[in-house]
Amino acid sequence: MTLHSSFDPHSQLRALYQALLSNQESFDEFKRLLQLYDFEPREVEEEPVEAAAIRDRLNERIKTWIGGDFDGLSAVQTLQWRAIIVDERFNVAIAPWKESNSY
Amino acid sequence: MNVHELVDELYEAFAEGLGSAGAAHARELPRMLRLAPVAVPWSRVFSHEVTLGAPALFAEPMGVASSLVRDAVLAHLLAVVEAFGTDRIEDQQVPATSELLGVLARARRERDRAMERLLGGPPPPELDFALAEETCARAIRRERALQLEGRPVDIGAYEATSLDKQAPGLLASVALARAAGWDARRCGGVRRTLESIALGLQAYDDVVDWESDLDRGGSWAVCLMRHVEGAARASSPPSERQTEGTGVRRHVLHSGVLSMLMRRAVVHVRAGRRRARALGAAQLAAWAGAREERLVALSSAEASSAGYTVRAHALSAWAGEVLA
Repeated sequence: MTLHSSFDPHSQLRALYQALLSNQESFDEFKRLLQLYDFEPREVEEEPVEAAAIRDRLNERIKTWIGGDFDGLSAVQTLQWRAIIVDERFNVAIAPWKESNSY
Repeated sequence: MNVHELVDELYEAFAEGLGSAGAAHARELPRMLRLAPVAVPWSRVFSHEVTLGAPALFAEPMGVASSLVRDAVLAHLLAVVEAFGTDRIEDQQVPATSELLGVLARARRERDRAMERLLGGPPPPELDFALAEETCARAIRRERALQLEGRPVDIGAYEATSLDKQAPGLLASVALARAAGWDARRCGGVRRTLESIALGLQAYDDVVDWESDLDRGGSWAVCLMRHVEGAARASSPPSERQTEGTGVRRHVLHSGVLSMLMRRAVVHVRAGRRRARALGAAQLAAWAGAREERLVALSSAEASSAGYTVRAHALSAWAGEVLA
């Protein structure tokens, strides 16, 4: 499947979606890294150093999968992904995605 | 007819009939069964109208009084909800609290009353919910035993068990057809339509849930994979035989059983769509047609990329919100 790169955040998210959808290994690694992302905003205010390192690793891997430009997932976005993919909570508020990506 | 609205209205009336405490528990049922994080109407728990409102989707060609349709939908939705609850209790996914058992007992009673009103008296054995419950319970026990032991199961045995699990969800629509004066052939057509649709939806569910089912103790995909691998092993030299019990997940993905289940889902929903159309159930046929189209696309993608359906399901809510 062709994965296009673009500076447009919407295109980046679409490319990430296609990468996860089309490749089991990428999906599994994405899920594994999200499982390792240990940050509970209700308990600690700041993202712990270890969690930030996992998020950096995740963003690097995403760049590889989508073949280039990716602005990177914020802590809030990473938490959203964790809720959807790891916790399987489909009803999480999606607003942060829209706000951070201006659409 | 808005089937979701009818389902929610009938369930709310059922809840109100239980008194204030009972009504509160009844409204909490989706949460108690861990089908929703908070108490929500049933229409927001099951997105497919056919799941809880099947009889209403047959009503148009029958030309029956709305009171009969309401009784049929009430009997159907309470039968399905009760079966769901009993399954979750027996599977130890939810605790058997007195509140939950109380709501389920009342659901059985109101279900049977609605069925009697629909048929104008006690139901014959083939439309008796108590017998359907027994069939369903036996199937659930059989499913659990097969899955926990991870025994090889062929597609025929899988579908037979799957069909038995649907037994309580077939009766009210057939009873409505009988109340409408439909002959045995057309009543049988209603039953077979629902069987086809139920088998199709169940096969899809057994694909998207196979890993979480495995985490809870067992999965149909594993049983089917063991059957497929067993057949392959029997016809291959010993040096090529794969090690039993290692990398189950990888084996399932490489075995092609998810693709096989998706193909079966397409076959069954297509059959359901054709039968619904033949019976004149246009709304149901249209719904099944849309479902079939989606399943065809997923089945094709699954054949090219094992695990696609599971991934698409996991990403669907996000994609629907963000990429729409």
